[in-house]
Amino acid sequence: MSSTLNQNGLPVLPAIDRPWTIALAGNPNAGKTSLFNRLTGLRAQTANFPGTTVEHRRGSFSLGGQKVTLIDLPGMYTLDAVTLDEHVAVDTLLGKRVGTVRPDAVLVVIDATNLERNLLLTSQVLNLQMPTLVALNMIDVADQHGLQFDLEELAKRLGCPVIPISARTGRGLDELSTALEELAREQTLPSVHPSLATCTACSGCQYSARHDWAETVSSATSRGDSSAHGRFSEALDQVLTHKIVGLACFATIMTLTFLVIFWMAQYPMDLIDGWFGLASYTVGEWLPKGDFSSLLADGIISGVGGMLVFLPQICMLFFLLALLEDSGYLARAAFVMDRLMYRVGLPGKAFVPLLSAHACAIPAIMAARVIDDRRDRLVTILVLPLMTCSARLPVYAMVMALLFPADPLKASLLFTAAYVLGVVTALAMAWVFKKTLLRGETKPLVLELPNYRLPSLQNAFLLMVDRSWAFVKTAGTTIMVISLVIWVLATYPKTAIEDLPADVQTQLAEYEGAGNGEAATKLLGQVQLEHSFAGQLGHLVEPVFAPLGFDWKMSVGVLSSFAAREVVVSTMAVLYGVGEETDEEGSLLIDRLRNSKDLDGRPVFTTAACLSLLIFYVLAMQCLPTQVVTRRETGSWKWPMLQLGYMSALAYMAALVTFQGASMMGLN
Amino acid sequence: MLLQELPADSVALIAGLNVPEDDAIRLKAMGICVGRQVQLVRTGDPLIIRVLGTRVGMSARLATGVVVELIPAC
Repeated sequence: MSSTLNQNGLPVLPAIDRPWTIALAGNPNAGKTSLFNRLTGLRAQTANFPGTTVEHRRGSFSLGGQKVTLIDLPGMYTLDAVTLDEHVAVDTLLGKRVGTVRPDAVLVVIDATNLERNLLLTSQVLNLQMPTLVALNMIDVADQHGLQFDLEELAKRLGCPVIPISARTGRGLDELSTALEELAREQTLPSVHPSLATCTACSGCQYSARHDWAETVSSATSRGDSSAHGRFSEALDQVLTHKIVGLACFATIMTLTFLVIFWMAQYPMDLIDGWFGLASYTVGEWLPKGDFSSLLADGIISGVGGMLVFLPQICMLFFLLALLEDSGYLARAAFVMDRLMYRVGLPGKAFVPLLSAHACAIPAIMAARVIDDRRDRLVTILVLPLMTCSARLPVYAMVMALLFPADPLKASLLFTAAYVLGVVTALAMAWVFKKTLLRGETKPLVLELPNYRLPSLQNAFLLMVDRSWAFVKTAGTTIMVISLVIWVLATYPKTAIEDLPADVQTQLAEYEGAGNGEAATKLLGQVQLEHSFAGQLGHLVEPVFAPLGFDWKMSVGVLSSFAAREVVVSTMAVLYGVGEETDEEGSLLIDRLRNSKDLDGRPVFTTAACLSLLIFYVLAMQCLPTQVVTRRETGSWKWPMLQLGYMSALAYMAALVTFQGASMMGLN
Repeated sequence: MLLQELPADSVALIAGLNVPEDDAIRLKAMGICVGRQVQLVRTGDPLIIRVLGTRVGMSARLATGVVVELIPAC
């Protein structure tokens, strides 16, 4: 590459005039995300690196009128990639990935309170011989603790410009922009110090050499005791990383987090539920009765509403997890759980995703990205949907009401048992997967325990918006399609009234004669459903589910809730509905279920059948959005298929054993 | 001796790493690299060490692959 020299004697590459690409690199916890948000604000989007499932954020901003694309690389300690994320980050930096160009400049963010550690990655980036700028971040914190820097000396030793900034307060950002523009325009390459240049030559000892260099540079350019900064964190860690007290604190913090999520999410959830109910009703009222209005109201609006109603919980979970992570606490959570999780073959970092899955498996699967090892991560994703998510609650509630209408103690004990069954099965399956399909040593923990800090609400908010939007985009379209399919199956073929059984026709005529149009419509709907494809399918698969104690209506319920488990309650409401007054929907449904008899006059919902239904819904996959997100996160349909396969098999077998066992014990 | 065997609050120099390649890279990048000084902050599994001004949590089974030389307290 031919190059001229600028006034400092540094080589200059020809200027460029297309939009610039600048890569943002740095250690985890160096404040990269804050700087990224400062520079790009809301003009950022989350995207996958081409051909991978590794996500990054990219955003655009303007430098002196020049359009710039900023790529936020995953945080890393070294350019010697070990994990997939690191491989992708390094390839992107080098412009080696198909569909990416080599960045025009690299902005390295380093933590001023921990110069020596951060200089290792910096030294490797400098060796790449790309235009490089170092942002000395958290300079405000360093000031507070009396740390002083010889910036001129530091820039000389690094061979590239160094700008002190505080991404939190915005200090130094103007200077940073000016320097960045000049760097990218003039394509000034770093002049690497000879002692550093030789580091690339020997691969075996490069870390020793680089650490020596970092120590020399750090001690020559900074003054003061940086350990003072960590005293508060250290004192807090005496408690929070304690073997027993630490676990108790962890349990408390997580309980509080979930209380906040469930408590705060219920208001927007009720609102969304109300809106969609209203929209569905309005469409049904205003459009002429017919297939089109039913398609809109029962198919699309109900289907999409069924997904969006969980969005507040998903958002809250993303938001609070981001706050916990930003505060530095999540590292401690992984730390205290590591030893316990190792027993089932999972790393400590898998625990928070497993816990989050109790609200919803979707954010939990996305949160599993923190797990470095691919196998550990896959196992975690595979077992996550076994946790009792909030969509299971309506189903559990229905069964409890059937079994113990007047005994809250027994009901809550069974409720707890259902939760425990989910957790125990998930851990057992994780152990099985680690012993068979995804065999391998669990990656031992090596984790920086960063200093605690006040989390940034803005960063957490941006992350929440990003991730929630990604969920709505991916899951939304698929759910729309599936809702349509289920609607078609439940609506066609239509049976003409003349073709209905004689007793139904008589009943219909009676209702109409009594002016009870609503009851007539309901009865017609029920019979129509029985004769639809879904109904026929229910009859067809009834023999399969009969050993579990399910009649054909429950079988239809199971099939129709394939995409969303909570649908089973509304399907049962339609199927067992017999055109009574509907002021108190909930209690009526339970009464109707309890009184329903099979053809021989025996009750359908015996204790055995109820237990079997409960166990089936504890263990069955029955959630399409989760499957779509699993596909997205793993990059292949193989894993969601495995999830569906093993969970369905497990649910079937467990329900079979439960029903047969309970029947033998006489629980009818 | 091994990192795992160090008494609490002791300071030691890293003398060698007997861990798989991937883990070795992770350790070295975080400063657990031959010639660096570490301080044991909390014993147990996982343990906590201070290295390069940061505290790092590490599984005990990994710490058994880290050879250290104890620096006697003066």
